[in-house]
Amino acid sequence: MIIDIDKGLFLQMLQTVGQIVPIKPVIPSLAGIFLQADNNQVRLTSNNLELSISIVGEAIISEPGEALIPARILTEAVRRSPAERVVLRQPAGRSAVSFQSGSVHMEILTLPVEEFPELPQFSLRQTYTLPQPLFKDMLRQVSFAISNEELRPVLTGALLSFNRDDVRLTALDGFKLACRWSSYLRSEQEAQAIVPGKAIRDLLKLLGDTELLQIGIGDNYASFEFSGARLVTRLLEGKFPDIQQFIPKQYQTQIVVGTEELWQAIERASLVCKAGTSGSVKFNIADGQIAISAQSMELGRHYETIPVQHKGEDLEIMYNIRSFIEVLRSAQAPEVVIDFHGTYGPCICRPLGQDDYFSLLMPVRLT
Amino acid sequence: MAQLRPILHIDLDAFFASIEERDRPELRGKPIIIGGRPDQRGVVSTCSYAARKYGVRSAMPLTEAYRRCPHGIFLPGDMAKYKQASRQVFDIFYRFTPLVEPVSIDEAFLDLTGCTHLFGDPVAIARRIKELIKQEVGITASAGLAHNKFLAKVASDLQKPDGLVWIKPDQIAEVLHPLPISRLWGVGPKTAERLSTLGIGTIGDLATVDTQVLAGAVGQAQAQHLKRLARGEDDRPVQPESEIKSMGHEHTFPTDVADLDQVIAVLLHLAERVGRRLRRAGLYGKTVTLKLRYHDFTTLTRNASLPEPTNLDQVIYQTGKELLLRTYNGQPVRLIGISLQNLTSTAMQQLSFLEGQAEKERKARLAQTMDKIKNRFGENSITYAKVKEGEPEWEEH
Repeated sequence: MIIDIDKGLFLQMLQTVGQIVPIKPVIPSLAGIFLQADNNQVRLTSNNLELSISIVGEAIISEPGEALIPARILTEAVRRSPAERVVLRQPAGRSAVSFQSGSVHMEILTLPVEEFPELPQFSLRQTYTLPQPLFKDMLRQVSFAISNEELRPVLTGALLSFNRDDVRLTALDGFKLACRWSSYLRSEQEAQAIVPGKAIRDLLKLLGDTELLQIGIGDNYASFEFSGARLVTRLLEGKFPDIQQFIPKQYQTQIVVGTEELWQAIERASLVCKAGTSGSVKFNIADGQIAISAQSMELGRHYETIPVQHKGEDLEIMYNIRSFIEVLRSAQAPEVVIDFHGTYGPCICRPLGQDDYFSLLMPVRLT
Repeated sequence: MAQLRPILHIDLDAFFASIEERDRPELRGKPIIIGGRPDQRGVVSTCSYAARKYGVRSAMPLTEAYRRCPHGIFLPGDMAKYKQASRQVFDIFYRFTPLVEPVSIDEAFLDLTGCTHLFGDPVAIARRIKELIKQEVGITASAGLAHNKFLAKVASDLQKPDGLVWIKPDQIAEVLHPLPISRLWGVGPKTAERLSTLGIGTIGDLATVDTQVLAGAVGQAQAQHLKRLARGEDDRPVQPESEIKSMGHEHTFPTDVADLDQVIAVLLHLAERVGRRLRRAGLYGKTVTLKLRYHDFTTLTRNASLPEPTNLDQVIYQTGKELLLRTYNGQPVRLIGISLQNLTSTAMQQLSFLEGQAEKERKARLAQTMDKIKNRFGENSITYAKVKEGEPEWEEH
């Protein structure tokens, strides 16, 4: 195998697939990136048994071949190489690859190619196409509600559903819930998949702000193809809860408030919490204003008020600071409408004047 | 310079013996020695002031105590009763400030900064705390006030029993200098002996000796430390109990056990005790750690993070059991333990829309009810049926 490739392109490709390479692999071959060189193309693949990413790039291939090279060393060698191009050579049968860039020569020991886990074979039932930035927004607005708790596996992912009227992404962890939809895509062929949180976090990092994304749904796997890369993830099995049951019909208290204003106030409140943003903040809603306050024995007190449009009952309620900030941030709107349902009930936050998103958050209380 | 923090050290006088005197008036004024029977192995854990007159001291072998005071009243001691009284005393402290650092069952530091505007000057607070202990618990305490922990502890020791001493900054030398160096934290018999060869017997001697000379005898670091103490300096903060990192219990089986049900029953009992301790301390833990040792001494620990901090037996048990079932390899078990880390005292509960809130509240009410029964009738008065079915022989370490 002899590959001659542009340093910048190669580094970008390595970083894309390297993102999922485990730091402590359960089997040694997972620490490697699989290179396949043929027809003046290099394909790189990584696999952590839950996810795999592959990407193809142009290169001068004077001798086709394959190799499994430790990801960290190869990526760092390329990043630090002095010249514009990098040449990799591996004579057949050798268990090392020679790396050359300008006057730099390195010999990098390789891993046995046959130990690299095979990628899952699956057939796609449906494929859908969306702009990358749209899907990235959906991920960004929903990912905070994905559960980290392994005890209920389905909740460690988000439900992606392609419906007649829209495409929809939903996540919940029991304390918060987020749902984003878009009528950009109306699908005659409906499909649903629970995409693991890990895949969602990786996609968030990898998706760009232009170009399209093609999503393929199979029985136990889904694929995401974008900008020359392909991410394949296992899907979570199980039944995702029907979220309608959690959403109360009629608000008891409603406010309309500037997102940034309320967010800043809560950030200031966190300054006096011993636990910082893990602490809690109290809202008192009455007389056309919301009073925000927090305190701790060790650090002091905070109190401020913000004028709001207020309908319905007065209310006193407490929230975890970090969760409430996530709710505000994820609304991605200058103003939000928040419906409250009593001191111990959920609140529903929607962007003002936009019907494509809501999130739900439960309060905290002193026991 | 920063404002001086008023630090209060409270030491209960001959605590265990005082509790016995309180409950058995016929013993008052008699030499009471707690620790066990005089013919048994073991040491004195506490003795009354009357017994101290005969030269009996804490940590002295019981046989020696008997030699010095043969007519003493030797009692085995009732730990549950002392703990109960200690808790009452600490509850009094917490009425004044959350900044309470328990040193032991009968001793604590309180940082009174921030509560003087509510309760008056530090001396008034100290007096009030002593009164409340007398009224509500029926025993006396000695109090020491100063602007750091070291001096506060020295102060509480100056007028025992039932004392109240305030060492003001301008009295440091006057109070400290006549005291023997053994009063200093970090000076044991070895160091004391080495210092006496330099002619240092009192803290005053230590204050005047040249640091380099001192360093020659005890090393540079220790010399600096002793000099600081001799000047009455100590910057250790009062660390409230919530800074405890972990709370747990473990159980070693008398013989290795291969019956998983029995291991699980023991786990429940341990979870019950951990939950109770957390609730008493007003703490909640977020990480549950299971410790498992097999017959061949292979030891594993596994932990799980909870969605929110808990102090409920049931939650601790269920999480521990889950970890056990995931880990257990079928080998006979020698030891099982469970503990909670990431402790906080914020009793903030994140409400959920998924798990029935009613279920959570049911668990909390159950814990409360069991606590009340145990407070009244003792630790063994009630437990879960499953614990009884396991029927293990309790032998905790």
